[in-house]
Amino acid sequence: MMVLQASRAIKFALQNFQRNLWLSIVTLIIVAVAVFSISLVSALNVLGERALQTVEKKVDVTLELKPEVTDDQAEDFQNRLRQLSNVESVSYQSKAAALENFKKLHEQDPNIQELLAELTSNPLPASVIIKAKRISDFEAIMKFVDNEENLKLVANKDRDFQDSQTVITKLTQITDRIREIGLLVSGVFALLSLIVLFNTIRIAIYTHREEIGIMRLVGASNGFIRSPFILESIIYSLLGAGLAIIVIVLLWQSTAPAMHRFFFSGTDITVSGILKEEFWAIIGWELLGALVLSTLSAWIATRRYLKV
Amino acid sequence: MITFEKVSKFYPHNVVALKDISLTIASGEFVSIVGQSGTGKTTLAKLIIAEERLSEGRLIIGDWDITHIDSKDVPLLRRQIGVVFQDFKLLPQKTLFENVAFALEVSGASHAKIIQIVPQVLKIVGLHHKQDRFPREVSGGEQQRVVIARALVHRPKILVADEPTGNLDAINAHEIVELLLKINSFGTTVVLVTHNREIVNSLRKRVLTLDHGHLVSDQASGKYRL
Repeated sequence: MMVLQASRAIKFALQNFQRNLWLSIVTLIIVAVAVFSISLVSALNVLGERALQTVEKKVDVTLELKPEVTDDQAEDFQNRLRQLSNVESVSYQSKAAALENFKKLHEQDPNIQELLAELTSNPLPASVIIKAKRISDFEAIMKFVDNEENLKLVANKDRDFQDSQTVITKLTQITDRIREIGLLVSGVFALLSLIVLFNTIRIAIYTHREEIGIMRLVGASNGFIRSPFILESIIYSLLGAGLAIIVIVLLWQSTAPAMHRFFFSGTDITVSGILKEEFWAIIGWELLGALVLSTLSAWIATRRYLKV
Repeated sequence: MITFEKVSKFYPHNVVALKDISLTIASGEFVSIVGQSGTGKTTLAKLIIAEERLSEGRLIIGDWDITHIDSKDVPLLRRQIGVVFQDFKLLPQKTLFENVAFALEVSGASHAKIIQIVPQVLKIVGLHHKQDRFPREVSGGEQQRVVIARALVHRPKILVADEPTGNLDAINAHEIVELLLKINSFGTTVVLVTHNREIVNSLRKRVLTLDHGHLVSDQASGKYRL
């Protein structure tokens, strides 16, 4: 009996879809546009977030150590930094390595090479390079560095710390603002799309109100009347979302080089790679949302015409 | 078969549709309910199929007291009462066959039963050769015959016809009444709501006359009096 009822519900849903083809197509397009809009904003959010992460990863703070700092002291300082939860990584550049890097950096410059050859001792300091998990974490890390014991080791506190802190504060403000705007825009788009989707399904069912009345007259139960409409809505949301996904993927692939230049220039991050990794974050929620909302809309819209 | 006990129906703003109606319609009877427009005929028909709920009194169909019928039981009641309306109420997106089959499908009838019964009832109303057409592709009289066919698929004990000839010309109207008489001759109780004087006078069956929501006359072999 259940199988029979279910198969009839599917049959009626497909018949409704096919025999009201224009209304079905219009509904489908609106669902697709709604899902597309939300997906587009999600995609831009994902890209923006990734770009921010990339920027954040590039930012580091180099602390030059005083010449008298021993290797053990430097090692101890690094270990204490690594224990901080907001530190992503700590690396050390010895005086010799600094000189070596400097030589490499200027190997094409004969004047500098000449000057270096005349040096009797290594003037370059050893340094500790810190990367934070997020840009905003630098403030706390700097506070840690800024205590009396640590300042005995660090040479460039007065010169660079203020500059770094200003840059970090500004960057943090910008990234936070970008995230806030992204969230706001996504929220507004999502809300608008949801309202449009909800009303579209309701209008589609409104056009069937006479039919619903007839179904009731010939003795159809509420569940029997409702199920084809709910199934029809599910078809709308699946096909609409499918359509939106195809457009998004095509658009994504075709604009990948431009997006790469804009967001990730000079990095090895690929835009197609991000789509693969974040596909469900970009599309999945919209699909699920469209499915839940269309079912709910169909349920509410039919309920109105099912009252005796 | 159908018993009204002091039934009244009020609508908001003190509109009285029916007042203190008491009557009994026996099994197998053919009863015409007549009266001018707005006199409560359709309301009475709607009460029988629980399309409207009564405000006072009791209404019993067979052994079933439907005075306070639960919403979930309404579909069950409607599968036992055939209904025919003036405006046909066919599903425009379904063929004639599908329209008739639909009444069986909603009750969970098997496919085998549907393909056995639907052609039979379409044959009774003379439309088996047009079963694949859509309602818009047949005449008003034919549409009304499809509605009657649909009403018959459950072999109902009661058939309620509310102005079934209202949208039809004289010839088609006569054919529909002939069909109702034929159905009545099979033993089905027929409740015909109409204001067609000629039809009522030609039937020579029981006539109930309503006026401003009151039952003013009940004649065993009556005529249209208003």
